Amino acid sequence: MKRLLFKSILLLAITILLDFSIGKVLAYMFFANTSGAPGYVLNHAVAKHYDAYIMGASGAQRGYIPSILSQELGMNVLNTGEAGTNIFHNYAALKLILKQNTPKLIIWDLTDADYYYRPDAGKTGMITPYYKDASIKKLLYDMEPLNRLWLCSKIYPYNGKILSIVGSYFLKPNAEAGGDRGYHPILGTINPRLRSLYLRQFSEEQSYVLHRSKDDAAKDVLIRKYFHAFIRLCQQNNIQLIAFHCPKAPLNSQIASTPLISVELRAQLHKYNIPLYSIMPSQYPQMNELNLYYDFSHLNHRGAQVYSRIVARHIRNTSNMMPE
Amino acid sequence: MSLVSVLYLVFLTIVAIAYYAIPQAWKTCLLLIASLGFYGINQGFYIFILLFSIIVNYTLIRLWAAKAAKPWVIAAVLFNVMLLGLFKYIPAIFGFAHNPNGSLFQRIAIPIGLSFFSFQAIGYMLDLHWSGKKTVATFPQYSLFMSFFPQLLAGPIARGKSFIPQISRAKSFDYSCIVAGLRRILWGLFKKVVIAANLAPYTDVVFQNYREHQGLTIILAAIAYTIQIFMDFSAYSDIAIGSAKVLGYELMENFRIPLFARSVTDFWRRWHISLSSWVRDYLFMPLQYQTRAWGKKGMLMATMLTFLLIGVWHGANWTFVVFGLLQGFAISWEILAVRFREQLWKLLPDWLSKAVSNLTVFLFITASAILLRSASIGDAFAFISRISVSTGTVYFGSKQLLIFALAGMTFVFGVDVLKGEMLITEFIDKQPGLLRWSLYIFCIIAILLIGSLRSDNFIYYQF
Repeated sequence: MKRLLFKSILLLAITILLDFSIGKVLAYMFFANTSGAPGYVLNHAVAKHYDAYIMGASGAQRGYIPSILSQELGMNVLNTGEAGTNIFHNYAALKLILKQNTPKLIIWDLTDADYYYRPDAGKTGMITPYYKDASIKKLLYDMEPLNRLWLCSKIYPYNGKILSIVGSYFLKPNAEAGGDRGYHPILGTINPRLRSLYLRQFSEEQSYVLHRSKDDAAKDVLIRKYFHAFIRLCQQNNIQLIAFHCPKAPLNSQIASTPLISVELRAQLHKYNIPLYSIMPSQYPQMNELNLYYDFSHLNHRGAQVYSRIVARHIRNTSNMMPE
Repeated sequence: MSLVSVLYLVFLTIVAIAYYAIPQAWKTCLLLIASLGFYGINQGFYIFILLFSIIVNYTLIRLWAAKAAKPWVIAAVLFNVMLLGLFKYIPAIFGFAHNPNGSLFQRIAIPIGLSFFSFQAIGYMLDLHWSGKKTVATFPQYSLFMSFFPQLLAGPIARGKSFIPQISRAKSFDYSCIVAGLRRILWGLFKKVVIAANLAPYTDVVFQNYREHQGLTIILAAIAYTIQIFMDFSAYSDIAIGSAKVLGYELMENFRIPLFARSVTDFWRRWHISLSSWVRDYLFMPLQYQTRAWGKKGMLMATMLTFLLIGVWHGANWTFVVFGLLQGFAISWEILAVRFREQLWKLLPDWLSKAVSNLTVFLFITASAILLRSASIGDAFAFISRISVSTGTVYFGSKQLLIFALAGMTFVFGVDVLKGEMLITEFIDKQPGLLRWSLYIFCIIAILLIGSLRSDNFIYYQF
């Protein structure tokens, strides 16, 4: 028994020492990358000041062009969108930004995943390296109680990122790595042969908010907690929050005119007086072309150019929004 | 409580400490409580199905022991087949797809481990009957045999004749036994978290949206799935065998480097050994005996029926039937063409014949595994047909995850080549201390650094 105990303690001690050393090196390399490349956009957001931030998931990252918005609105804009994330990422990003700077405007690319749990949204890999920040640590603990244990490891916050961290540190990211201030264009157009697949995706996205299992409902509670916290954080800091809902590929008239935003989510935004613009292709003829879309839910670069101008126009027209 | 969770490791530690601290007389009782608790935590009220199965099977065993009458054996087999039918086959055949919000029938899910403990029960009854010995296990011993937590959810399918005698054997703290068990658990965790779980997002995306992909992507996904299912299931078996070893129990080995098999027959001697040996002993051998007068024809029929059962064991879907039949046809061909194959291999140099036969088996298994992953026969064929469309751009998903999985695979296969048929624990034991410790630390750091720690389900839970 003593032998087993002694060897276990020795193994644990060596592992902790290695974990600590490797973790320190990874942290140094990770935070050295302020290019704004996907996965590192928060490093950039924390290092530089902007007047406005675009927040959201892949729809934001690929649909909102900061250079167009900056030109049209006369303010510095950064796109902090990250694919596969939800409100947790937005909340963490805002918390980090507020430590350095109070923005004037947040352009929020809103989806139902910011209010309802979805297994394919809610990636936290981009925020775990910031676990030392108290509010982010609390968020990580709320999301996964076992993070209390995992975050004892100094390596764990960089889980799954070693190639990217080491590669970008030694090979130095090129000028395009950060995209256009966090915007990453996608080229190519929607494949019409996959029409049936996209139609199924549309009906699934429509129905998933209606049929919540007990497990999903329990997870919704946490998402909503941070949904409200995010809005309150904006209000407490006098940040103008404008929500947009990106158009989906108009494969038929129903998709072109049906926003995939639940009634309950709309009601919540209304309660907080947050303007919501659903850019439906049926109402915006310039968005009613299939060759502006990369797939069912993402715009391609041409689509993003057209869409960003529409977004800028709405922001300009929204009361008390124009910079002095 | 998944076998790859921190919670499970804590649970195992507590059970092991308590197990070695209490007197021998209480050990069975402790393991029984721990096993039932483990199943209850995992499966909720489905624990009553397990208890019902234990009680009915044990009653039938006692009735058999009283008179040694064949009807009780038939009753036991029928009872287990009916239990499997009720939960696994009837809902699927009649289209009551599992839906937690649906009707009563739709709300019934397949209790995890049902296929495993039902086969154990049948095997034990048949062993008793065929041996003619009337010494049967006590109720607590039988209950532990049916519910032993390390192998309860996905095997290996234990045999009463090897497991039950271990229960009454005195067990005291044995350093080498515990270290061997812990090594095996670490190896399993590495395979599951670093390889299988990093491959899963890629295979999920391609198999679920195969119409969006074509050419090389489809081939890559099919190969990735074969490796994923092997790593996933063998990892589960490693953790189960390792956990049992920590508690002083030996479970049957379930895998012996199956991807290095040189024929389909050889593959099935190395893959899911506890199932393939179960069907060999309780179905193939009796069938072959009954049809011995028919010569080769009888053997082929027994082979086909055996593999049909292996296919159907996976679930009520035509994909599993075709999967089983494919294996049956391949083995039948190998039986019929044994001389032709020998002559053919003689034409090639030894190394080349080994490489070609190994590759042929791997490709055959990869093609058959598509059936295990597809929702229907139509889907499986549509998936395969995408291979021929055009090469197009190859989709890799997250390249980082694929690289991690590839690195892990290279390491595991490298160790497999070095160790050959030897068990991993024996292989590690033979290495110098420094290398052994480096291996432990490498596995732990790799799990933290590149492992997909959110994965908790094993593919074989669904079967």
